[in-house]
Amino acid sequence: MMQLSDVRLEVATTVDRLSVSATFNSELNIINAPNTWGKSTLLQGIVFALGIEGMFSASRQAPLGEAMMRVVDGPRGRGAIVESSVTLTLRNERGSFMRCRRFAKSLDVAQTLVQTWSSESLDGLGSAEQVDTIVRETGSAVRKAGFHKVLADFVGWQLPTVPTFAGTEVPLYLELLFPLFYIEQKFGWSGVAPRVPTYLRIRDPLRRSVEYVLGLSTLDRIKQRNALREELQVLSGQWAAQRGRAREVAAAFGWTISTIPDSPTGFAQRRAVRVFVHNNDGFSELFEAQQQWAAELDALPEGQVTAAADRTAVSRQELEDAERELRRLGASARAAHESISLVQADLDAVSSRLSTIESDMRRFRDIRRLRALGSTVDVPLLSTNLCPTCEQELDGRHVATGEVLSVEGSSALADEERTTLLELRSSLESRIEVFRVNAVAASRDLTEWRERIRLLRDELAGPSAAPSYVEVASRLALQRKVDNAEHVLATVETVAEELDRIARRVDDLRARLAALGDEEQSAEDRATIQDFRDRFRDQLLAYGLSSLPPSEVTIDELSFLPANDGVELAFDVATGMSASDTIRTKWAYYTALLEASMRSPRAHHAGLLILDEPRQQETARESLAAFLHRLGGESASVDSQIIYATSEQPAILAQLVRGISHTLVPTPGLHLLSAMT
Amino acid sequence: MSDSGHFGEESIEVRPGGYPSRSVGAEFSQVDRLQSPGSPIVAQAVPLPLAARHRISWRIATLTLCLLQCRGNSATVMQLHILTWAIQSSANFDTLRRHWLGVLSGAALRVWNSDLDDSIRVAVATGLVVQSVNGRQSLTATGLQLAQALADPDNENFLPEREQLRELGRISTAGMMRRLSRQGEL
Repeated sequence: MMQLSDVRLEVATTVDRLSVSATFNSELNIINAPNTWGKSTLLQGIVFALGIEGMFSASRQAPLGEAMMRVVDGPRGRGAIVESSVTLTLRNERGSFMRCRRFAKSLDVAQTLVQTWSSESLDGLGSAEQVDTIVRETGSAVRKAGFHKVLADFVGWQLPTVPTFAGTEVPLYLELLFPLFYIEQKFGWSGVAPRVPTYLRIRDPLRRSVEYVLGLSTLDRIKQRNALREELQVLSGQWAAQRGRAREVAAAFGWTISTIPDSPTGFAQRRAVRVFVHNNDGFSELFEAQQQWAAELDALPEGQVTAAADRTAVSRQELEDAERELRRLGASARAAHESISLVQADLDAVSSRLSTIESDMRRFRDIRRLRALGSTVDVPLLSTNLCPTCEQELDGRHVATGEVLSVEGSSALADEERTTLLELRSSLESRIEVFRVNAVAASRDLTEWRERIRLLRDELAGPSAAPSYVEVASRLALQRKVDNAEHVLATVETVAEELDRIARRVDDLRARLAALGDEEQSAEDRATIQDFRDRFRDQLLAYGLSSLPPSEVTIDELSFLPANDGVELAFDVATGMSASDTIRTKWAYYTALLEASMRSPRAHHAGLLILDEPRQQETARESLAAFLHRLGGESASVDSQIIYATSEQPAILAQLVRGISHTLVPTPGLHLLSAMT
Repeated sequence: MSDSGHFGEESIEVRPGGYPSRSVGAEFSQVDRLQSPGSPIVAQAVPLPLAARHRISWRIATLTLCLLQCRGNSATVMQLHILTWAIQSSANFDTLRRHWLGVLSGAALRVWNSDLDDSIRVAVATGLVVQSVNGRQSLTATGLQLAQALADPDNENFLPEREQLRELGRISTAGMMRRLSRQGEL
């Protein structure tokens, strides 16, 4: 909560040194003065002191008038302004005070500097240490020396981060929140929706601001859900890495592993990871092959190597067998490469079609958005697809039956096709992987058999008394295979343990996602929104809304805009609302938001509502009386501070506020600055 | 609006919007013809899918975006053939890019977007585009409003198409001719 204690405008001209102050109480404060008195200058001074002029536009110019920036008439005559500043004293919920001073014009102090003093009491501010902070500069919302960080801390707000159009996250800047607490005179009353700045490139800025002010958990829930999904993504990456590790270690020796799903599964769906060895009969499990190799190794005579001459006949037969095997393996390798080429061609075609389908789906989304745009820019064709001349459906001309499937239908069909193609691609990728493994295994076998043939030929042509090369090489090859199998099986076991860990974590995350549900709002959120809605509707009824039945107007729970029959009342022209009803809707919106927020323990409303000249002339007197009664009664009763600036005739105002507890802020003289001393 | 006819002893019924002579898209009722040989054949025209790039709203929107990218929001029909063809697919745009950057120097780019004439006719009838006496197509005030709304940086409509067009920079007829034609023919 944040309340204003006082505001002080100071001006030093070439002939005078002037200042004016206004003190505010809790509850309803009324600044009543003629149009030219300078009420807006006073209120804009508050905006300037808080450094939130960015709520109006991206402009870097101070939102203050000539009297604060260029020239002013003082008691000693007209003088050019040499220095001007605004000093604002704030009180928070804990009863602490902060004073901030910002210079609008100065030879020594930049506009981006805000001097601050903090104390537990108002009197203590005089002796408090001055702390300089920055505003309207990069980092002013997050850095320790950033004024908006200091201000948010003082108010007790921990500003959440919100997504931008650029895909990044930034703090929910105060410039986005204050449009819900301050309605300025010139543009603030146009339209029924609060004017939040869009130049900050934040997605759904009004929605995010209202959610924070009402203390809804929507953003938290979205973030929790995103955090869980992000962790699932991380696990997916870890899963893929482990899967790749197992495949690589097996492939290094020409072996292959059993299928591990592309994406993580739950623990119950986990299957053992098996390693297969390519042999003449197809594939056998590595652990079985390892046992066989170990048995063959054991069967070889210990320590003794047969002489070449003693196994000539055997070597000849082995050479013949080896050459036959080499030819068979060569054919097998060629077949595997041909299959790879064929499947790769299919894969390319499927990928190309997928790319087209995905592009088409995006375009269907664009077409759906175009429909809404069609009514905004008044091009009915975009919404209806009807020829402006003959009123015939235009897209139907391009299909054989003359009747075209709707955009939604076509999009759904494309989505189905996409799903099929994705599955087909996955299947093709699996097939190509199998062929690659076969090709690698055949290639490795070819190398081994070539080496064996070379040894056999060398042995048959070599000295008879020499030890058999083939026997030695066979012993070494068997030992190497046994060792490699041990290494691969150990690695795969580690991978399997890691996959089990990921699967358990996936189960946990999925359970938490399920518990969170798909709904963006919790039961408490829905109750708060309903309170906001009820208060809004009550007021519409009390203020005499006539363009629409008040009972049919509501607050949309996604956009937080006033809506009727599902249509957001964002444009008064489009919805046919009268100017006076637009003002009534606006009054009801801001006060309902204030009341509903202040009654919610988790809300973050400033507890402050500043209404600059709320177009009282455009509404019926009874409506205004009802509004003032609401401000002085229900709205002020929730520990809030309302500052209401009006140029209403004092006598009429006195009648309107009769019986309403309020403070009349003194407005002596013809102009705000004429009262300066 | 419904119509019906007889073929021998069988009747055929055509639902509104149907074309009985065409087999494409026809859907026949689930009647067991063996059990009831005399029952009527009911054919109903079913809606068929149409790719987004052939839909009139997409074509009109991209046409205005192309014109917005051109100097004076105006272009020749030949320019529009190339631009609207290029943004139909990334492969098309890659081809245009290669010509644009001079990678395929010496070869003129000649393409034809068969939907363009229809798009222009509808855009003119809708009041989005106007044809000047020299045959150039220009955006009207409404067309400009639509194109600017589409190109608004705050929305995500037509992002790839907008990025592709932005890549080409502000397009003038003479500049485009220089880049894409062999001997200044466009």
